[in-house]
Amino acid sequence: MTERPTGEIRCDRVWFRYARRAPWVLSDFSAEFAPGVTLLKGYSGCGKTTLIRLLAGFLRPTKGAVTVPARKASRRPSAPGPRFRRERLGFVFQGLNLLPLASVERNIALPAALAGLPRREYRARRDAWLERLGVEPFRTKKPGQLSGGQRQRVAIARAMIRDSAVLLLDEPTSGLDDRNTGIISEAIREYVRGDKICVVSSHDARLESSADSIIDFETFRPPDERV
Amino acid sequence: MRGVVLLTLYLMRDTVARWIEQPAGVIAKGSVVGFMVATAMAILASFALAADELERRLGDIGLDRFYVREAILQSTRKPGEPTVGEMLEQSNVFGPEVRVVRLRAAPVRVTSEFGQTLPAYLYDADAPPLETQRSDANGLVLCLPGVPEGVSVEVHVDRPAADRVTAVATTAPPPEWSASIDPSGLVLVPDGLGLLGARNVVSQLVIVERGPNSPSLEEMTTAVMRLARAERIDVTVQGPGPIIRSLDELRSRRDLVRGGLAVIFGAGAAFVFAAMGVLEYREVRYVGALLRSFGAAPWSLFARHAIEQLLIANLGLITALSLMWYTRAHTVAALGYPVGPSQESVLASIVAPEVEVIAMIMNGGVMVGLLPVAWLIAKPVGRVLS
Repeated sequence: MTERPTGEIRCDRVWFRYARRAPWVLSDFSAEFAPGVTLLKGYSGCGKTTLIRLLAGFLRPTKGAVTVPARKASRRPSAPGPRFRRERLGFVFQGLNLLPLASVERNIALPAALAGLPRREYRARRDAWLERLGVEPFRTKKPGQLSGGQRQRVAIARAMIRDSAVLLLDEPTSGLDDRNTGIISEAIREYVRGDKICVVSSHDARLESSADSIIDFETFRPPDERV
Repeated sequence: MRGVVLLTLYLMRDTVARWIEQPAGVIAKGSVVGFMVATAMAILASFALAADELERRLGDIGLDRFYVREAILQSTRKPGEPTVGEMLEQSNVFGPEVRVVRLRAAPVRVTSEFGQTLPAYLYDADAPPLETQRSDANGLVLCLPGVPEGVSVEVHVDRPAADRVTAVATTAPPPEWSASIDPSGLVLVPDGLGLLGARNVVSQLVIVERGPNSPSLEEMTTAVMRLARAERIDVTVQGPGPIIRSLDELRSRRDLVRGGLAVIFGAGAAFVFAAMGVLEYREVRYVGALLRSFGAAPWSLFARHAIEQLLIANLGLITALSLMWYTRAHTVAALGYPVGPSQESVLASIVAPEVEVIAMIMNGGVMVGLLPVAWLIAKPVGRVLS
């Protein structure tokens, strides 16, 4: 089940804005996301979250193209669609977005099942990741019964358990203490050990040491607006 | 497969939790459908009952028969002047195939030994109105449905301002033409039997039955009306023509109303389910977008919404129909028709075909109402999740 990407995620001259008359959030942005951890850093509102959503296919570029590597090397890269999300993507939202009516275990089980993970393999990974992220004691609790840090770690476990080729994390450590940030940082490093593509959007400087490459959105800012 | 099962279970749980948390939405939608179904059924039922009433009257009159009612006023008639009935009876104006039965309403009520009180009609002794009338009897005939023929029974004649007289009558099945006069039966009394006392006859009833080669009923009734006008005699002619026209008009109006109801009902269901569906979807769009972010297909979320809406609508439909069925007698009474097994069976007979049509229209309307939600479901995940 463990999968290696067959190329990079590419952004080719991507332009994006949320409405026809709204200002451009991304303008003529091009980048390649190779296996390893890429950190998107920059000020709030600079477009990190928008970019990571474009990479997941949650948003469609206004102009330009985002392509993800095909499952087989012989195939051409394509735009990220439902199948890519179901089978090859792990995603952690900035707002965590856990299913409110489901327990921790069910929150993790549903995306894993949609990815077609065999039951035995799922159980082994579930136990390992819940243990690894320190949320194993809360497996029967519902999201409303967890603290912010615990919910954060459950959301990350949910993304990592699928062992997908691409992992996208949007502000995974916002509001967390150093200990929790350390746990998550180590988990990310461990996850990408198998040549997976991991893109982390964060303005948390504590994650910079875990990154193989950094895209600084500050450089896209007009010189007079730079902090 | 396991993913589909888990997704289905989660969506079911999410739906039930929402129903429990906010039952008003479910009740409102079900009630709107129930109200629309009940209204449509009541309107269609009133048409069916009206048509049944006309068909019954048409059956009583018959398609080849008309009745002429004529007042016989001694004050305005000259001695020896014939009535319209007598003219029709004697002139044979419509040809040999036409049968004319002339009766005069007797101003008495007759009670049989079985307890029924029936109207009495006088007939000319030399022109008995029943073809099968026995010549050996005294000519007094008790026409009662469901009584064996040829039985001698006692009848009591109550004469106003006179004694009660008892006589013996012979039973006979009511002739076809009598159903329109009194469906419970009548008594035929020959002239000269002396049962009426000194009272005068004030009205006459002539039944005219056409034969296969006779002029049409319309021609015959027109001729009778002309004759009565020429003789300055007031008559009322009752034939099947006006009833047939009323029935045709009623049926065409029913088709028009059915079409109108289909449009109103379908559009109403579409509007209600679209408006409420969009409002409800705003509450579940977060979970829906989250599931899509895991790769759940948009059609699975649409299927959940469609099944939920169709389930609520059909529950409303079934509830309304069940209530109407259990209160059918009250429905018939509320529509202004006498409650009886035949009216209830009419109501039952219209339910089956109409329900099918109404269910199709309602489900079609609900499906149209799903379109705005389908559009919302298709919106990119990233525009929903924050």
